[in-house]
Amino acid sequence: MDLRINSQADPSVQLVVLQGRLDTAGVDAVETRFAAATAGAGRDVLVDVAGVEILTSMGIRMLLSTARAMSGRHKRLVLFGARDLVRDVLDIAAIDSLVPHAADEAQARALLQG
Amino acid sequence: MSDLPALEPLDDDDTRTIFVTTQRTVQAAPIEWVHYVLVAEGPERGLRVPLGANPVHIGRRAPCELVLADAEVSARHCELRLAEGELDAIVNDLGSTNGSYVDGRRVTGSLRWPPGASLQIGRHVLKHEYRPLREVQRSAELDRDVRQASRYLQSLLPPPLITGPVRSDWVFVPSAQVGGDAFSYGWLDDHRFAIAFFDVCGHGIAAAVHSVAVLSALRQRTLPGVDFADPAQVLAGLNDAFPMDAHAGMYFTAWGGVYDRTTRQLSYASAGHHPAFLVEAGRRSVRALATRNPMIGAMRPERFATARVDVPAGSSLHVFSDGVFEVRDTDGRQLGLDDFTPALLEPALPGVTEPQRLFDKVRRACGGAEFDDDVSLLTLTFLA
Repeated sequence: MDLRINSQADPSVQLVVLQGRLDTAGVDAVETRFAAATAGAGRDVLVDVAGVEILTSMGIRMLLSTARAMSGRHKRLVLFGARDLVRDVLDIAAIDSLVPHAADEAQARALLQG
Repeated sequence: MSDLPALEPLDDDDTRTIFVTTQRTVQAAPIEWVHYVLVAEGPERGLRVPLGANPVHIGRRAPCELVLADAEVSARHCELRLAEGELDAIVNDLGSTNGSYVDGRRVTGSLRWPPGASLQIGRHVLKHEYRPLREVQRSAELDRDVRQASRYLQSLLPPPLITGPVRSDWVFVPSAQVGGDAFSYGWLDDHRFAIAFFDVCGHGIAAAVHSVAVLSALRQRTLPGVDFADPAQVLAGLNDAFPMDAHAGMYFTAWGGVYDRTTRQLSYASAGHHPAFLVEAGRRSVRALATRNPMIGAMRPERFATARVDVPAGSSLHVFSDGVFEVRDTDGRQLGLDDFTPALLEPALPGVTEPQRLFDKVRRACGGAEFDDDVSLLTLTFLA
């Protein structure tokens, strides 16, 4: 599992890119850095999950915990670009009120505006 | 004569506090180190055999000291012995059909096997361990405790129903001896049959502990104010009782249903869980049963959505965990729910329960590799 942070010209939004398998091992590999890059960023966060091959329960837990922490600071986390398997998992989890997901970055940014 | 440095006498108005101690010489207990052969991967994973003064023979049959039930292992496959005065072991292949490989290198004759290196034999991978005896003993104690916990959790699951208007069968395979899948079912009264299936996030001991708490609440019906004949109320009750903030960040997915044999209807609700599937007796059609609710413990929705479906006589309901279908096939391709569901319509196999048939099919698809996640499959058949 790999995590990259893209600094953006827009100071109000941080872009984080996740790649690989977001399973137990993947979460172990990136959880601390992900928390620092998101909940610790002090701004809204867009997460590019186009490169995530699989999202398991531990991956959902990581996203959910982060979104809840950010919500407490009035910041939001929005995912975008999920592959079919990952999108199906997110749809079934029905946590989009806390962890919304969009088809692409433009729609994700629109969700942040709304 | 003391070895302590001489102390200067203190003045009456000196407010310093001086701590004086004596040096202690601790006699460390000698640590006994032992070589072991650990089966790290393969169907016999977890076996650990000491490697000492006598060689260890590995093969498919006794009298080998390490017997591996593996068709790709020769009857007498190889011999392991310690190199005298050194930490390495020596692997001596005994003319096996499929060979022995130390860290990927085929053994022709003999080859050194250092501590930490792998030895592949058939479908098994062995590791050469060199560890303190006490550490191994503690691991063995923990393994025994985990196995006991696994037996306890399995004892809480309801037995298969082989008589009556509702029949059941199941397969339950935790990935790490214990896991977070569990289910319960039973008659609420003379005409309503309740089903509950849940999957705690993650697997292992933490998930198992949480699943026992949830299972106990369902078995004992201790959720306050909940009508257990209403799946939505059951999910809401579980959601109130198990918020993830109060349970180390753990949530679980759930599927619940109540079958009424007088109306032949199944009311159901799911929470973050993929659908259960209702297959009619002729296996010509399958219906996905799910309602959109968040996972248990994650949020507080205003209400949990339910739905209802007619159940023709002889229909079967399959409820299972995502560990069943979130596997990789022999080409490394990640599979999903859509890859698994066609198997529900395939013919039954004589003498094989439906959960076992489905489990075996998935296991073949991933080449017999071990499952990364807990696997639970429950099939209920509504005869009347």
